[in-house]
Amino acid sequence: MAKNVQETDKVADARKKAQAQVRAQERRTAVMWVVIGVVLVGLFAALVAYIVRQSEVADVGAGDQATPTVATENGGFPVGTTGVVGEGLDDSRVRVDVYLDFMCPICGVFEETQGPVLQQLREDGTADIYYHPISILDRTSQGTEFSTRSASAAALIAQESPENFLGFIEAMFLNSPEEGTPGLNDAQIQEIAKVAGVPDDVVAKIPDHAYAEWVRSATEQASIDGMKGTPSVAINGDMQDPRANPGDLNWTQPGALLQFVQDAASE
Amino acid sequence: MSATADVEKASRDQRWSLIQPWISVVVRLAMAGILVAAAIPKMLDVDQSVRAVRAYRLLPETVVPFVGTALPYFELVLALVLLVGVFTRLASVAWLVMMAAFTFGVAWAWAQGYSIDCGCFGGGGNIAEGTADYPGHMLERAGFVALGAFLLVFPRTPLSLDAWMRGEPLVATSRPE
Repeated sequence: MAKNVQETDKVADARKKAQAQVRAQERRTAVMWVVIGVVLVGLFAALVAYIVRQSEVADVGAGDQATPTVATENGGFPVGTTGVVGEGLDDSRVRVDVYLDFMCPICGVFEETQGPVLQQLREDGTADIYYHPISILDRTSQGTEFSTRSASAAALIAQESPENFLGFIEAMFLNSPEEGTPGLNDAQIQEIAKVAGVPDDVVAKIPDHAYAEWVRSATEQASIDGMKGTPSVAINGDMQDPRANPGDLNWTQPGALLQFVQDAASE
Repeated sequence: MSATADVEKASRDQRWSLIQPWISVVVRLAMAGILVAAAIPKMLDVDQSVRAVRAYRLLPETVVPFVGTALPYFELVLALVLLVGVFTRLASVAWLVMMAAFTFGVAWAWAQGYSIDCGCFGGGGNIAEGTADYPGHMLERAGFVALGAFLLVFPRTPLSLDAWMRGEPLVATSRPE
């Protein structure tokens, strides 16, 4: 009798164990499907985000984005001997592409120290300068997207008041805000434009940010063209990266920009 | 081995089996937090994330926008998996594969002399010359790999779906079996 009870206990134990195992297996299967579902939802969300972004960031000047017609296909505003966007250009000169973000402190240093050099190269017919106002530092303006707004204003001025484009850039860097602040508001940008000589009817359009989408596309194009930060300089289409390529232009060395462009011109 | 040594070893093992799940749970949650911290800024500035991926000059342009856009989503999914503690060992393998890819990227950029910030926690892209902190990034990477490796070896944690699936109490006082 005692032996029988023992055996019944054993059988019951075994059954209990087997049932627990089955339950554990069931839980495992259910959880596995949930996890697979979550991974698929994540993948789907990533795909949607990708497709949405691809449709938003059109090629420069493509789609229905407002496009400054004076800009080149890679998003540059060409300035030649006259200092007016789209005028006094000559393809036989050295082409200098300059990439600037109005929020970037080193761009201010670049404008201050290299601006006169570029002016000299431009005025003596050595080089045409292609200015790219781009937007890579929106994350440092506390959500006001100062980089995009100011680049959009520069594009507007290049298009509608091309003789004041260089003056506007210079004035913007003289008043450049600190990174991590909201930057300048539209009224302040308008004030700077007005002082730089931009006519009132153009100044009035600055708050429309009409070229914001174009700026985003131009910035993406700049990145594809090898711009990895601002300021960046390309000489005859070659993005200069002196750290990776010791032979490249390092504009922080005094006289380097002038020498480099003159060498390129005499080649 | 003497009997006392055996006893000592047994008590050491017992102590470890008590402590290990709690170390593992801290490691697991830390990894989830790191992934969330890495994903949020990328999602807030997708264009920057794409540019950061492009700056490594490792991937062909056709896939760069997708990788830059999708990366934070993958990071968030893995963070969620680690947070609830499901298939923890598999998750730590996924983490280690991800870290291996990132470490390779940073090492590559370092070897090529690119002045790029890693972009690991958003930002990234080129930075002012000579300010890229490659040794710092590598050290950080090593720490992340150590976390993943620990969880790979000791994936058993309390407060996890794994524990629930095995039918254990969510807060086990000692290791069953």
